[in-house]
Amino acid sequence: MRRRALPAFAALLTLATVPRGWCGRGAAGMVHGERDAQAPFARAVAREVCDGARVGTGSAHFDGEWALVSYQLALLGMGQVARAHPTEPAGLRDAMTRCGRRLMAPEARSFGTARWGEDGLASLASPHGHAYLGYLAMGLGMLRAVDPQNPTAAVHDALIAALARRLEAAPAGLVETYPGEAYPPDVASVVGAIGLHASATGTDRRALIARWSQTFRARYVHPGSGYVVQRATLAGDPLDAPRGSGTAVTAYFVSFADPALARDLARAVLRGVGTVAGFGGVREYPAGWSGAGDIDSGPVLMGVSVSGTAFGFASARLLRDEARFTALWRTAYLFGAPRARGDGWSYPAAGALGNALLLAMMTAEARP
Amino acid sequence: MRRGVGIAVALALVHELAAAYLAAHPLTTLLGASGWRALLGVGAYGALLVARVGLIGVMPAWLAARAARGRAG
Repeated sequence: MRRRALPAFAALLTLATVPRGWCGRGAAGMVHGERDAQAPFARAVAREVCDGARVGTGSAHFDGEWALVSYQLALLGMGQVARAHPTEPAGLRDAMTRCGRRLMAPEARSFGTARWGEDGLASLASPHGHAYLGYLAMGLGMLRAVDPQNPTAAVHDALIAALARRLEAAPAGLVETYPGEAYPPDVASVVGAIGLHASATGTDRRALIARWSQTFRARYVHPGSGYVVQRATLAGDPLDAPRGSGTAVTAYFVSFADPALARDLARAVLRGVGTVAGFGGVREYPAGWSGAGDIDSGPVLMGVSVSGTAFGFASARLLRDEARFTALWRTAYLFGAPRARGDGWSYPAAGALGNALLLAMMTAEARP
Repeated sequence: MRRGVGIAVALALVHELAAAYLAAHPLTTLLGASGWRALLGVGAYGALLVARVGLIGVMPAWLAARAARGRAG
């Protein structure tokens, strides 16, 4: 009996302790915002995204969306690292400037131009929503926060003025992304961009943001789970389930505008974190809902979504929840296989978009 | 024991090869790929995961069980 029980016990004990210990290495440095943890990842993202983002979804539309989001998230992540560690060499700021140029190129928003039949940035007086420009505006906002003299400042001001006007005019708090299509997480990028612009320039947008937050909480936050509805009609009626991936990205975006709403959403995301042997993932659907994965969530495996888990890092950072951050970190380590490259490190399997996303979420700034 | 070392070396080799392939062809560039390219990408990622689970989870557990069996007599 003892001859069989002892080896089995030793194997189980090892399985329960070694993988969680091995895969959790480095989490503490990142969750505490240490320079030695953040800066090398930022340097790798600077190379991968600012000098050669590639995606291949098989759809020109999604390739365009992913490229724009890659530049935006890389700018946000690099900017957060640059703000946390002002002595980081200028290389990171140079990379941000290069990334900003890519973000501003007409090709980066051609997917939206094709859907609306007009270039959103050249049609700021248009009544059309172009809510995807919130992503572009957030990138410009971080660029400006780090470098107030950046030459994109005038375009940034004009874009934010147009987005604020459209948000003010939206009766149900939704600005269209594409004709007839509205997504609350995209509108969160618009609101985040307005908040980031306000903090960078000193513009007072508190009243607009407070009104929008009130509408958003009432209409798009599922009362039971706290998850955000992924898609809605322009009148504000939900068209999709509350989703973990959308909630997690919304929490991050609105942290730049309304930290209280961001914390409430982050709490919902962290309630949705399931763990097995110390490895964590964010559940895509709340109890009572089910569905498959899509282009936003990525694959949903055992109820856990890939992008929800990646976006979930920001919620753990916003709430300073080291235990859940570490649980997500172990999963990213196991499935992302991080590797050192030159003076940095990144997740080879994640590609440019995945690495930009993880950098932005892992270095998200907690605000009072 | 020699067999265990051999398996560990093989897993490490598979891990490095798969990681090198994925570094050059990240999964996000393969979503719209078809045919052999998609198969290679999925295969490389599957091999990478198997190797990681083997090296980080199964091999240490196997070694611990083996050591305990030796102690138990």
